[in-house]
Amino acid sequence: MQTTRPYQVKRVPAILRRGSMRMMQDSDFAFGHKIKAFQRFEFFPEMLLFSELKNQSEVSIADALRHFVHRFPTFVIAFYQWPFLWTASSRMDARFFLSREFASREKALEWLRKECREKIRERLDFSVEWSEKFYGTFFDSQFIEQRRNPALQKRLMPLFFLDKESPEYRSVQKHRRAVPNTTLGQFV
Amino acid sequence: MNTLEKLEILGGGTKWDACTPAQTKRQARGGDRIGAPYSAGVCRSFTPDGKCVSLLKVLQTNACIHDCKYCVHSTGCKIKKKAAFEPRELADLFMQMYVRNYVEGLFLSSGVCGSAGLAAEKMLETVSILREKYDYQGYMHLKIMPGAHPSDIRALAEHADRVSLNLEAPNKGAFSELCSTKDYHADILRRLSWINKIKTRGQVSSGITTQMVVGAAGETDLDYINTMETLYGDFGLKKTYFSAFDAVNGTPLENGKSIPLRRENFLYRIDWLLRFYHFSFDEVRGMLGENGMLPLNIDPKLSFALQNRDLFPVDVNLASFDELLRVPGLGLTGAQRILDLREKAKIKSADELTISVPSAKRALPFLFVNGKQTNLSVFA
Repeated sequence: MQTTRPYQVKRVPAILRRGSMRMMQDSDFAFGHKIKAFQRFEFFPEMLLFSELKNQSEVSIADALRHFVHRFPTFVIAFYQWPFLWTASSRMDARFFLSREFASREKALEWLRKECREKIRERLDFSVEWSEKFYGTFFDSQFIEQRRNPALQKRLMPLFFLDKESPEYRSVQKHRRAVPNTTLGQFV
Repeated sequence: MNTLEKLEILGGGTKWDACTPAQTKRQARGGDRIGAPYSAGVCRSFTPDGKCVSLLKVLQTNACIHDCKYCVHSTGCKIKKKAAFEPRELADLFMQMYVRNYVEGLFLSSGVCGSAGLAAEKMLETVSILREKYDYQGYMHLKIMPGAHPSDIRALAEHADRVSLNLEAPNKGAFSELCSTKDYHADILRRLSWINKIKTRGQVSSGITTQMVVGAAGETDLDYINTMETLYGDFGLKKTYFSAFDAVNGTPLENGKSIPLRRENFLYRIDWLLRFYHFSFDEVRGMLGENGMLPLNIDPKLSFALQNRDLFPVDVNLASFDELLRVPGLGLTGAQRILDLREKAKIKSADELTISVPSAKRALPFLFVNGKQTNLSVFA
């Protein structure tokens, strides 16, 4: 008897269903997921989301661009991986999908912001000025001291989060030698 | 007070609230939107207590008129730093995190400042800015305040993918011991039934949830199971969260005894047996001891199998999916794999079974494989 499993998410990448890139390797799927789920953007008021990548395949970048263009259709999405700048957008006034070479990240960003300013009239300004501390503060605030269990955190935390600059890495390092306050077994 | 300090206080104010993003049937509309409601978002990260983080969980304000004895926001709590987000400030803070791909949705709750209507109004203003000004179409989980007006509930449900209203205790007696300013039937259960009516009209596509504090007023596990039966049957709830009582400094119950996490974990196991393993409430009640508590030294499913030895062992080649699900050691995936395996050919040996379904190693004492039963020590 077949049964549905309502707690499971079906993980068939959209790109596979289209049939155009059936030969894509498993590693590309993993890298595609890495960009989509772990890559963080810099936001610019010219409706631009920019991120720098390291060691990604062209296929995974294309997959991620398609994903983010669907998620943020009002923004221009850009990935820089030396020496290439990859951009995509579904906006009618700034409709480009290109890869172009730049000597550095700064030059690529300068060119792209200028292009966006010229093409897009709209700007998105927030009343709250962004600080890199926001996410780290929020992440740390969620921890319940009485339930400390660093081994569980280490086991569950995806490795891609453990970049040395991230709040997740700092949290794992801070608590790694701590003795667990509570475990499931200690009460039996 | 700046935004960072507020975030530290009001983000920390939600750390006892359990929630996870859920799939929603809502579709992304229009080209000028920000975000999409589909599930593939940011990967979950985990705090040092093992809690997953992928939503921005935050309170609108932590000022509260209620006197819940376990709660750090209650009027009876000695240590309290009050803070409140302005609706525009919170909406902008969330959008900053969302477009940078730090979070994949919002969980918004609030203390009851002045009245439930006032709290709902502030929350509504925040979500209206998000949904209307920014055309944000991502996931949103909103908490309904006890005693909220039906119009406020309708307005919040219109914007939300999921709403929740915390029950806090499994029955009126325990609830009255924990809080004197709220009425269990009028402020909580009646509101839950209103939310259920809204859900049946097609809103709140990710369903309704609730949360209960475990053991704060000496409740038994039987109380929780009876309440779950009512919640899933009469109120159409999607999920119940449990939070083992922690004696937090400064609260009126600071000298109380904290409840073992294992009890919370076992209640979650029971919840899964009911929702996914097709156990009936009577079967689950049979797992309880004479004092109405689950024995904490044995897994509930194993306890069920040992109490009902006449049902085991089951034949892997003949058993139905539901019968396989009752075998300790076999889960939904394992049971399905056995069905897939025997569709191809009859399973002839335990080795053949455990190579294809590794989790079946633990289930072998409860299985007949080709007329043979192995590893009978568990029945000794």
